[in-house]
Amino acid sequence: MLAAWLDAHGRALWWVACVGCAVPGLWLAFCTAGQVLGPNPLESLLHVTGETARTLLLVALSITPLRDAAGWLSRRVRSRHGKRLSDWNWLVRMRRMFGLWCFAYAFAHAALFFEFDLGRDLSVAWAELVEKPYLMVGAIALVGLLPLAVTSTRSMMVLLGRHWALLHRLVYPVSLLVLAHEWMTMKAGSWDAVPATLVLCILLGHRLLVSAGRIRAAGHDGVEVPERLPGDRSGQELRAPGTR
Amino acid sequence: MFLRRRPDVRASELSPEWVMQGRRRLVGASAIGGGALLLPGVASLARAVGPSSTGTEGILGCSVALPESARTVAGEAPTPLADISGYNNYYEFSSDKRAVRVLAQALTVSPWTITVDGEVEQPLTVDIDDLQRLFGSEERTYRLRCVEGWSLVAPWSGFGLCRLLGRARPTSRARFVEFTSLHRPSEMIGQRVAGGLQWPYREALRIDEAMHPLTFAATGLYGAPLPRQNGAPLRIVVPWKYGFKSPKAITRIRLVNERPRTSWVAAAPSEYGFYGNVNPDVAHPRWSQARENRIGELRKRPTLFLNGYAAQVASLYAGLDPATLF
Ligand code: HEM
Repeated sequence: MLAAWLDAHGRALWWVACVGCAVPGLWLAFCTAGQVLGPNPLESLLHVTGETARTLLLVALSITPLRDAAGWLSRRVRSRHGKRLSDWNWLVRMRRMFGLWCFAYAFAHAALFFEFDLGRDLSVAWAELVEKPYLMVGAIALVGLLPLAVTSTRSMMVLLGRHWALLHRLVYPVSLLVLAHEWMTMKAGSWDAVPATLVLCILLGHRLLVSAGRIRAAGHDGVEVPERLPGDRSGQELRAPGTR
Repeated sequence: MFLRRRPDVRASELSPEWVMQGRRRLVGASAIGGGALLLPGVASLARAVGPSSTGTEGILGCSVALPESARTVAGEAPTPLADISGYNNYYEFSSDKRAVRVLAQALTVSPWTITVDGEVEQPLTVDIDDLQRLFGSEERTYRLRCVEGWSLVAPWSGFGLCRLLGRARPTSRARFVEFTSLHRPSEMIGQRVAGGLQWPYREALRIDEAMHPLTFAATGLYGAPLPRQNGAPLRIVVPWKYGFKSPKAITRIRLVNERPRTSWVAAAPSEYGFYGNVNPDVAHPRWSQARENRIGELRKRPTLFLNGYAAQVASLYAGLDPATLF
């Protein structure tokens, strides 16, 4: 029932999530305008944009495992919505939206640093990039996110065909770089990055297990997971050709 | 901001025995050899007998008055009290700078005593309520620069640390001064968490740094008693060093011969040096120290060498490699 409802209201859900993603940015704009960013305004700006970008990256990365989990669950309860659960296109659209918001926040994060910390000075920026590994790591992560954002449109997906999925595997090294960047900015003795690191370990671990065949994927994008035939009690499942 | 008149001080306090001894021993030493530089106590004594009473050169102890420019911050209003007391690094309570203000209110600051011992002729324990009577009270407005890259301007009240140290009369073996902060996990919730810093928090200075007239023992802020989150009832303020060198809630001051192992140096030696001198040219291993966020300002500003106190203290480090001063 819930599954059916979610499926039917995917579009509304997309809008709710989209507005939700805009909230941290709107909040920062509001606080900046009202000069209520607190004692260290630049730190607040970098902190909120950085953490939002990182969180949205993790959210985008959790869509596929969630689909797999939903597929597994629907098989367990023999839900008639098993097929749809794994094949919700709106979930994929949602993932694109999260990814694009992630890029927007990451870009704003770097732009704010360039403007207010480096004073918009390119030579200072270069010197510091070369000198400070955490900045270099952040910058590489941002550069890695760029092609993903650019090729996120439907027409790009069609154009790139199967190379698209290959290209977008870039998100895995980028996510590792982002967490490395975050750890490197932490003061010694601070454990603030632990939750995000644990989540990333689960998300990437899931993919490792899938590729090792230990977990069943819900199907590659666009490929359905086989549904139980009505009345089938044998436990036999039909498999789409070529899926694992 | 008015400065209260300093109380009269006895001559022995103005010129402690060990400085006199040092003078006798080192008088005539025109050049400081490399060996002396490795022995900061001796080097400082040598400097003490150098061209003294020329204002800023070779000053040591309470006998030298600070110029007005070093007691105030010209052309800049102090940071609002709400910010100074709402954004604090105080790991005894939390590593969250905005949470410290709330958590620190659990601290009992009275009764409180401060013990001065170790390499001194006259060990002493002073009640916090006697400090003003013994050492007077004056106001100093100093810049404070945190190693994390933010800074503020704070109007402290208190007394020069040299007054307290002078009363204990350091011996000639005293080369370093170690400060121990309160260890009371029942009230300091951050001390109950394992990992990170070793408690109690320890900091230390070379004796010539500790005796420098800029080095301040603060008991008040904005004319009122020090808020708990700012280090009540007594903290040390060393304005030319990063904030971690200005320890809070001091209970013990020990004069020692060997360089003490300080908390941050023990926790992360590659990131926090013993000296912790503010230097825009010596980067923290992870971030630049060239610029800083003055609290309340969005755009960063350049950091000043020795936090703007070079005229007073640069001579303390003559001949030392700036990179080792971090
Ligand atoms: C050129 C690229 C980048 C630059 C110059 C940059 C700069 C910075 C700086 C200066 C900080 C430290 C903030 C502070 O200590 O107050 C920081 C923290 C952080 N950055 Fe970046 N960053 C970049 C790219 C990224 C990207 C691509 C992401 C994520 C998608 C990211 C996520 C974070 C996170 C999560 C933090 C920790 C925030 C905190 O806890 O304060 N950064 N970044």
